[in-house]
Amino acid sequence: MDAAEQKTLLHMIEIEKKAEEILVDKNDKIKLDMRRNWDRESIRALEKLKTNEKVWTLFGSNYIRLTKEKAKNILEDDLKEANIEINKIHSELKLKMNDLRDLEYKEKYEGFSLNPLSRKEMSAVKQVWGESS
Amino acid sequence: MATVSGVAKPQEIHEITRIERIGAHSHIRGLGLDESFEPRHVSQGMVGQLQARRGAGVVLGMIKEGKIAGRSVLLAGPPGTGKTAIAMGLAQALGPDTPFTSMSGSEIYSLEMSKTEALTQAIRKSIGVRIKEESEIIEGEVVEIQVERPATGVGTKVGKLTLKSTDMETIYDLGNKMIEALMKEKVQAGDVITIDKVTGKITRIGRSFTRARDYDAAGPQTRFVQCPEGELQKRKEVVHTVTLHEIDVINSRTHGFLALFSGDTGEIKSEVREQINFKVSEWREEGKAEFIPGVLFIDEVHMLDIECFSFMNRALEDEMAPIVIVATNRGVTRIRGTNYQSPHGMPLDLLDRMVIIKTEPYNKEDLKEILRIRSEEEDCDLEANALEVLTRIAEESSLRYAIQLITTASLVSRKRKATVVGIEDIKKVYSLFVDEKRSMQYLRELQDEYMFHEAEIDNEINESEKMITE
Repeated sequence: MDAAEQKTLLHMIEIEKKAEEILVDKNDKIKLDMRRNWDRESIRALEKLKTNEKVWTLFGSNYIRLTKEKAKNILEDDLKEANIEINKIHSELKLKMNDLRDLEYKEKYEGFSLNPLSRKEMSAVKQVWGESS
Repeated sequence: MATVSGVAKPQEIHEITRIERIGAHSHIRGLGLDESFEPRHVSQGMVGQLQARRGAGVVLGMIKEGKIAGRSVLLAGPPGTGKTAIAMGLAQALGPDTPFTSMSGSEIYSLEMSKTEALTQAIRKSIGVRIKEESEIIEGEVVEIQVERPATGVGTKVGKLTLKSTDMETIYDLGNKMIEALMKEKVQAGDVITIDKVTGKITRIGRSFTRARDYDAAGPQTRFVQCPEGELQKRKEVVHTVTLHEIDVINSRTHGFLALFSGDTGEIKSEVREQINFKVSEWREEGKAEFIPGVLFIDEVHMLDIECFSFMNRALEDEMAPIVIVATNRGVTRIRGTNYQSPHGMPLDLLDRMVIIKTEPYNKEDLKEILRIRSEEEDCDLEANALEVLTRIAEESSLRYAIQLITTASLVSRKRKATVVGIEDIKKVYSLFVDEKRSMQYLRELQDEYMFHEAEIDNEINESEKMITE
């Protein structure tokens, strides 16, 4: 293998690696959103429960009886953590996406690192396009 | 509204600003440069004019790096040497995000607004502001809606909504408000919907493909869409580019939306502009907005008068000035509104600020190549010797005249049921339509027989008198 081929190969490897990372992140986001939905559903179910007895909860492969409050607290903490994790992945994903485009010699996606406009400001700007919201 | 339709809209809007004013340059797709800004001889519809294109390429590089905001470029050269083509190519090469405004010098003389107002609007149309919109939405296909009504018929309703994507499924408990919103949108199982998390606004996107066979007949407004992929709760980020002028327009009216119906916007108060400038700079400091200095192209710039030139002189010094590209085909001529002669009909102090790119007359090979490209663009097949004849005509009279002959000759050839344009067709149209030189000669011979011959001279006297009073 001569130097040019070596270089091409390395470049391809780099692109594939980056793409793999992005795919893994996307998958993680889906898994986390699933967790978030389960947590939310469980919290709602607990709130609706009439009895004041302890409830059965499943951790790994063990069933544990917990008081309602305790179970709810655990779920809420989990939900919070899932939210934080999703936000983190989301912001990293944007950077990775631009890295990948850079490797592929494409133009970057501009503007995604900006802070979002507030709802009120956005609705004012949207009047430009004749939309009301 | 933070849905798919909201994403599509702004792009359509920006499409409108990019419609080319002149069909004569519709074959131009860029400046025809390679990666190192070296011009290729024939590329992207551009032919020859290597020096000028090289220059434009350097300007392009500087624009992309944001280096020459507030400066300007003058394209100077004889008529029909591709000045407008270069400006168009530059606009194409800048990409869809950079605002590009194209106007003719005489466009500023309108009765609805003053000259400076027209110029200011053109300048502000050429400055883009990039902003980001962010919303949390829940997007999924409705699997089931359950609503429990109290037996009495009044009171609070409760319900359940099951949504799914290709990867997951979940159940939401519904409150009274959400149930009503869902009813109002007539959401059924099998619909794909989005719910804005903050406002709770529900939008129906369409029906899922998997449910396409639920009914025998579906209304024409039914849109079938794929079941959404991935997570149900998504963060949607949309980047928009608006021009300063667009923001001015909504704020200059008390009833913002009216401006969109009445068409023309009239004049915008300077206080409004100042407020907008202030607000946008504030956004920039908060990291909410980015400026994109765009390009303002003024064709036939010698049509501007001295007031416009001095206004531009000052406007270019503003921190939010776009890159101004002007084009003229005049040599040393009178500056409009004065009695002074000046190169290109522009005052020397403004000329001094400009980078001047000059275009030169095309040589024979270039003319031939251009005519070939144009005939392709206009869907006309030319015989090899017909192209040769056209090239001669272009050399002797003008390129524009030769281009005019392409379509006319093709019509003539179609009349005699030929598929390609031959020499005889060219000869026919050459005798039917006179070019500039022959027309001039003809007029000189038969001048006396035309009407208003003497009145014309009177007018000239009047005009010279006016000049003196000015």
